[in-house]
Amino acid sequence: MEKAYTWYHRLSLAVGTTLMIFVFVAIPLRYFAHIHWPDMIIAPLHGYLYLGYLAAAMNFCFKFKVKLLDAVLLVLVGLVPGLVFVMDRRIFRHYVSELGIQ
Amino acid sequence: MAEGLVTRLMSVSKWFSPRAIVIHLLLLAWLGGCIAASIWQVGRAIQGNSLSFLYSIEWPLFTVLGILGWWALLHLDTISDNQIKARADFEALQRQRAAEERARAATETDPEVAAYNAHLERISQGPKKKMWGH
Repeated sequence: MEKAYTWYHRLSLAVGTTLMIFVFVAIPLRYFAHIHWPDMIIAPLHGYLYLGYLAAAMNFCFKFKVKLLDAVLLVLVGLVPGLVFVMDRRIFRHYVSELGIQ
Repeated sequence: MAEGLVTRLMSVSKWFSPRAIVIHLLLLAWLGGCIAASIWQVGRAIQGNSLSFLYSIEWPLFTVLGILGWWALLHLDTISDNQIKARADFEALQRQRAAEERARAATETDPEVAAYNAHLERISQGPKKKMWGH
């Protein structure tokens, strides 16, 4: 149980951070300064981290019996900058903290 | 009779309940998106785009993950009564604490100081909780 949350939490932080860097650093650099290399690194990195994030989120959903709507939201928030962090907080509050896992 | 059969399928079978149908539709949307993206990226990789080469591995993996998720969602047990009760109890406790804190704060002369005191008292009584870096 604990491990399922820890893995989901770590990967959500990684996905959230790489997406923020991609959207707010790599894309402006690409279109305004015509520097392409940060984009070429961070975009596939975010893609593969998102793959891991999906697997961890799915595992978490099944271990903690997450509601279907929350499961769908978990998939979608990985694609909107910043929302992963909000969702992580919500998931912790609704599914983890009340179970008394320390 | 046909209507009775449909109702029975809807209520009994895990494949045709309203929840299951939502899950089937989600899978269809997911597969459509992933397969279209896979074909698009493979096409670009063949034309010599090195970034697309990475993506043409990634999109089929997303497709497979979607099928695994669909299967698991269909065969997942719903939330147990104990879990519903635990959540209701927890929410009731939180509401009660908030009400107590508000009542306390209202009787003090300085509500800000009172609220801070109540907060300090509450955290000194509660168990120490590790919150995974929060």
